[in-house]
Amino acid sequence: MSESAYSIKESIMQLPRNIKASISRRGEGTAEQERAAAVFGNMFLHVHPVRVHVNSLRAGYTFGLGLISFYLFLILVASGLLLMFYYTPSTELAYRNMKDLEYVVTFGVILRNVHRWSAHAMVAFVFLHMCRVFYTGSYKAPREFNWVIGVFLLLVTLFLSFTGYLLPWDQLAFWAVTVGSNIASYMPVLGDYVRFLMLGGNEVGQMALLRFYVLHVVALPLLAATLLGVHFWRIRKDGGLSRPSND
Amino acid sequence: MSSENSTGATILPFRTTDEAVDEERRGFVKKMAVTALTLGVGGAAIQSARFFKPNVLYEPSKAFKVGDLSTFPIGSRIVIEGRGIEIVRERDGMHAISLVCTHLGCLIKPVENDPDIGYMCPCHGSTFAHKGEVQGGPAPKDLPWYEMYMDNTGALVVDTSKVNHKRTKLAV
Repeated sequence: MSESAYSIKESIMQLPRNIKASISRRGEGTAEQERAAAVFGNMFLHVHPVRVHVNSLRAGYTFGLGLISFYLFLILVASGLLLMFYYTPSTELAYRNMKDLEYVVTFGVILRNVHRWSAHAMVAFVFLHMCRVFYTGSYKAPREFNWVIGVFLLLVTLFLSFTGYLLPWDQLAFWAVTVGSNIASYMPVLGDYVRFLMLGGNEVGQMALLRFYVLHVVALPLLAATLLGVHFWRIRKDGGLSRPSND
Repeated sequence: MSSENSTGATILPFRTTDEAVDEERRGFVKKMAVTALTLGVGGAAIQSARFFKPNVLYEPSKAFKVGDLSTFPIGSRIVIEGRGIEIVRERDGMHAISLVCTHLGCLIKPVENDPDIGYMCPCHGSTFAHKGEVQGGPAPKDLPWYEMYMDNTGALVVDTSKVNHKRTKLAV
């Protein structure tokens, strides 16, 4: 296209290619460069290394337990977000909202059960993932920092389950949190203070429900997402997934 | 004070004595500054955490009326619903006993017609004698008795913020 002959038609014809180039941000290269660039040039794929050792791909070594835990977390975020459209963290409404989700809301019962079972499964898979890391010795140097991050992720997973347990506001929830907060009060010196701060009072009531809700839907998921980011980043920095050194 | 070698890179000279003294003074000022900053920011952060402690609680009062004397005939054991206590009246007086398990806070059930066991917890199976002493199970402490008195209208009042450590009965 010459400078003098600017045509609207041609620039419109050029538009799809311009858009594609703005997204992919790269020109032509060799086939191998192209494949590498496709991974590290994409925000969602760049978490994964361009090259992995063939032993890292052996399914029987990791069983994909960490990735399954992460996918369950994504399912929980998506289903939890949808549940929030129908749930109110008030002692008057919480139980009725939960029953409405079960009997009135379209696909509500599926949504609630997806959230519930994914939560149970996430606890199980995070635990199994920890077992795998332990039995393959993957907690050893240089991966010891990531093991500690993983322990915090296990704790966050358990706190997410515990805080979510109160939200249906039924008898099971009430007594489980009564017992759980009393377990916290057995902590030396600070026990009773921790229980008071956790419940926002002396008994499981409106303040406790609101606190658990805020922790469950904002604070803990954000903490989990941040720790997940560090956890994945450290896998790369610590030399990739642990793997058998030879076949 | 810096000089250049043949490659053009800058080479810093060794420290002179004057600069070492200067370094000590700088180190001291730096330590002071970091300490002041830590105390200031740390203190502010700790004080800010007080935000999470509620100053007003909308909880039921710990002292409450349970009814007139006629509500509690001699030989009766009556559970006050929603308050976690039982009023026991015997020939020589009456007392208010906690129904909150000393293990993990479950609501315990009075056991009828048992010579030894007066109360049992449904959660983890702790058992208590009629006066509240632990008989079995994981409960670490006896059930407390609470202060009880009759107000000027003749109504019986229980104050669960005051434990009756001596386990004295209200003579009526």
